[in-house]
Amino acid sequence: MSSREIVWEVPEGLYRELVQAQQELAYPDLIAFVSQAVQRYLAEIKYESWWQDFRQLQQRVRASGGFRLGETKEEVIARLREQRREIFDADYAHLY
Amino acid sequence: MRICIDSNQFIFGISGTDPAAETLMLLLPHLDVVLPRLVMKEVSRNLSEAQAKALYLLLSQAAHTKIIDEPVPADLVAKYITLGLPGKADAFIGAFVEWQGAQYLISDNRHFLTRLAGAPFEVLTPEEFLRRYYQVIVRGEGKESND
Repeated sequence: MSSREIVWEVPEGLYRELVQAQQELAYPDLIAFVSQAVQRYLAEIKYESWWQDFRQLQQRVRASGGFRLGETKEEVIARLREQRREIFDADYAHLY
Repeated sequence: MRICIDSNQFIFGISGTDPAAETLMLLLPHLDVVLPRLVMKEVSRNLSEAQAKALYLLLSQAAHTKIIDEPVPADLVAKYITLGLPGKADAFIGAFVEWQGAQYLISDNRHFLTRLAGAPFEVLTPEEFLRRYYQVIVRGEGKESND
């Protein structure tokens, strides 16, 4: 894995906090601790964005009147199975 | 742990009518998921063009979710017809799950839940899946491949 050396100047107080946390959490060194903290934060940001985009899709579907596939879970599943058969017959049946 | 998710979970999750399916959707970026194109076609058919585009964009951001276009081997589809899925379209899904080496198919389709015996994977409702694996997934271990 390639790497790049950087110089990161931090306030003294933050540095002390970082070192203390690194020691308490038994990370071998400060680099390992900061690297994992940054990776976790990036994953959280990504996940938060996914969550927001998914909620937005839900809102858009609701605003357009929902799926209209049935009133009950069983009705929805039955309708989806019909649709599966139709798509399969049109696009896949010739292969089987 | 690799899983396959049935179209009904996307519909219930997006509509918000089933809390477990909705949670499953929200956890998707933490999971190793394979989806046959057939499932995506089923879901897209019930969305507007813009909504379908938004869904595909979302899925493209889930690093471990793959949509598979290649056709499932015919002999595997035949196997699943014999195993108890007389409809070729359902057999195709069963065969896909085995072909892709997924451990679980998440579905509320009772035909899968009750008729499928002897498959090398389990069919679970989203409730059952979350009951077993929620803690594992949120600890970040849901993307680990099958042992």
